[in-house]
Amino acid sequence: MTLHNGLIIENLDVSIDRHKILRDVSIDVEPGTITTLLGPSGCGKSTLLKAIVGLLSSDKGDVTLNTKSLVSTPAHKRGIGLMFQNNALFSHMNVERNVAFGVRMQGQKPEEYEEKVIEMLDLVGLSGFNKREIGTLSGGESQRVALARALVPSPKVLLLDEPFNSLDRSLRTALLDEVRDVLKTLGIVAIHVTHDWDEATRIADNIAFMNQGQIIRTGSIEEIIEKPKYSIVADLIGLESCWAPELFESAGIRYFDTPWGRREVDTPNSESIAALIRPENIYEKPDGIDVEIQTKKSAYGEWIYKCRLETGFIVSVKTRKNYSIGEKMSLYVSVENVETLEVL
Amino acid sequence: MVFGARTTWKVIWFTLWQALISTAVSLCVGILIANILSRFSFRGRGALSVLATIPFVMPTVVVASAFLSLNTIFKLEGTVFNLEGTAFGVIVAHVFFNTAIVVRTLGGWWGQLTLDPEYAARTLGAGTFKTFFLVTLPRLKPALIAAGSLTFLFTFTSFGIILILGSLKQATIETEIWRYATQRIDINTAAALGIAQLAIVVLMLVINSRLRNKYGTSELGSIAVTNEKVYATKFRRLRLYSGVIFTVLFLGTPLALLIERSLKTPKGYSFTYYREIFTESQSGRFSIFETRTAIINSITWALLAMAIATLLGYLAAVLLSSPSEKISKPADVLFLLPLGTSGVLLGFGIIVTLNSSFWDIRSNWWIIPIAQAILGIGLVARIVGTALRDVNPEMRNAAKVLGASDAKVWRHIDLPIVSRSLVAGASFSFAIAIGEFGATAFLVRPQRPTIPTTIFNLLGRPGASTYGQAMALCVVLAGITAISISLLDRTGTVIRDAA
Repeated sequence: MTLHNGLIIENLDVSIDRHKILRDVSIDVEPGTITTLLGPSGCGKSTLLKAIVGLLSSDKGDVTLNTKSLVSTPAHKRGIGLMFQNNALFSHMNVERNVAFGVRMQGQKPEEYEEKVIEMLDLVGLSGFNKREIGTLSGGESQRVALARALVPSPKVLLLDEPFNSLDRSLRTALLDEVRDVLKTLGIVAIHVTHDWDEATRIADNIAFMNQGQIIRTGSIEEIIEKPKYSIVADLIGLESCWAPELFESAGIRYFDTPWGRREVDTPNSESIAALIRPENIYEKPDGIDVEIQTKKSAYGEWIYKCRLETGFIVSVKTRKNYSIGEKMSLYVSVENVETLEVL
Repeated sequence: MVFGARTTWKVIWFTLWQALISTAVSLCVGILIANILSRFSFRGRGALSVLATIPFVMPTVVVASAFLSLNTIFKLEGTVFNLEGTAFGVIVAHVFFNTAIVVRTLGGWWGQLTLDPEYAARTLGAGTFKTFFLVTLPRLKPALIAAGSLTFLFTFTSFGIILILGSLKQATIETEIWRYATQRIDINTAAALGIAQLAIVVLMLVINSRLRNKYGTSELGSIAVTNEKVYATKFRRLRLYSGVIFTVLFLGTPLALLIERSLKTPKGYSFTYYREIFTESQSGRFSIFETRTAIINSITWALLAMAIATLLGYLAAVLLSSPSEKISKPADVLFLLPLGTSGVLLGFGIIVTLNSSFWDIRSNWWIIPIAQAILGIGLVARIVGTALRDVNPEMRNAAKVLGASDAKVWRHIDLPIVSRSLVAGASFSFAIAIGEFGATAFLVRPQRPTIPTTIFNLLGRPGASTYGQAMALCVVLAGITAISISLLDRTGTVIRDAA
């Protein structure tokens, strides 16, 4: 781990009611970058954010910001902002009082923070909303207020705990772009939590995958796409043609069978493996393997079909041709393009 | 004339300020206990939650007697903490009694609030106290208003505690009505005070009703605990432990000492007083205090009162939960009245209005369970009405299109859903009836005593034996109340499961 002025989480363990929720978690978020924490529900993402912000104490490990350890600093003195899943706005205060809450806690007087509140509301596209009551806001407006509220105290780090989950897709993508712009403009270190790969690719510079309380894979978006390493990561990033083949061994070489031939295992350390075929590596070919179309959907001007092979596993195929469900297709895959992944 | 007297205004002033202070302190103590029950998950939480509810179902005479025993054991007489005949004693007993209302009302609301706004405040730089005062307290406002107004109502119209613990040195409007009507036989003054009391109560009820409608809260719900995991710091642990110890000491000590006093005889600890109250003889002291008859009367009348209150309370709840505001709004105020009406006022009202030589029903035994039932109807209606409002009308429609008649819809949809509330209402009405003292004090005849009136009479006599019997009778009354409530609670589950 390199020493820098960003946020460094080292070997963090967190337990709740004697149950270990986080194990040996380490993440490194460099200054001015956004890291997305991706993982299935219940894997410990929100717990990690609460531990970083100081709402949960850690059993061991360290959280360092600007080379200063924060573990013994209480939540209200850490200077880390958090945007909540359900925005957690104070319903008994209006927009202005919500947004100014953090600076009021710093002891600033209205004349000192008034301008900043107006600026921030302007930045999140809510000019003139100062006196509005929280109950009168739409979902998108509420999240913008929550963002402004988190940003006004000038946090060095902002944590975003699936803040756009409850919004419809178009609003969510629009807000993600806005938040990314704001964070980049202000140069804030951010950790964003989601279980949605599309959302992650929209906002993140780096991705950290979490599973059962552990970080299992970190890297840039390109690196993750190029080498998912684990089947669960492949699944989370939308690579669906993944199955667990039966392994054989002959003359010290492990292999498994595919409908298109034998494939050697190139992940020697893993006891059980998954096989992956990316959609772009599957072609239609007259003398290929016959498959039956199970489902179809359209995306970006192409059809994506899920087809069942005779062996039972499902592959995703991308093509411009229009088939009906139940129709047969003949598919070909070069065995070298069948990737092997580790199974956790 | 009565309002020209300086003493009358003194009584009204004392009634008001003791109620205000009792309410304020009850709210503070209630917040502390509700916080522990709603925001912490710990072993023994269930038991603590029961302990926090017990005082509410305890008859006022029992509570007052418990504090009298506290006074004796700790020799508080003559000190600044003297509980007998002082405003301090009245307020402490009121807080003990009403904390349960605050805990149940606040606990139901608090446990359902998400922790995120508090966490948000913390991440924005607010410390523990600022978070509590700026975020938590405002979020609790609806429940605080509901609990506060109900507590004020109960402490304003409190009778048993003032009469026994205040020993008439601390007179309130309520005890003065009773004193003028029964001791001085000055019906006019009693009536004038009654009207003054009623006016204030009605005003409070209207305010309470408006606030409840505005905030949509209900009182005396079950205590919910947050299902979110809470950050366990040393400070939080300290808060939890000190809170639990305080709750156990404050709510448990008077009840424990009551039991101790009931067993303590000049010859050591024994069940002598219990034996005495269950064995009536025709001679001596026991013929004056027909304790066994009192127990039988109390149980029989309370059961009757419960049946009447539950039936009429359910019908009232149907009106309260009507989708038409033309029905539900007047019903809300109408059925709030019994909730706010004090027993003394009701008893006095019955004595005055039914004072007809043609058919003097005041001397009929059945007027007692009816009076006790009237006092319970409001509570049953409130509790069941809230549950009925929560029944999704679409469920009834779905049952109808699936072939259920109106009766079957009620049997299979409404009844199972509201059964818990109905049983809770029945339990409360039974507890109110069996411990009722104000109205009963007016209506009982010496030959037809109830447990509370007998306790009061026993306390009025000198001697260790009568005092011990009073304490034993208090324990019996508390025991009957506790057993019946737990039995009824099981019935609720059975009804629901049967559906």
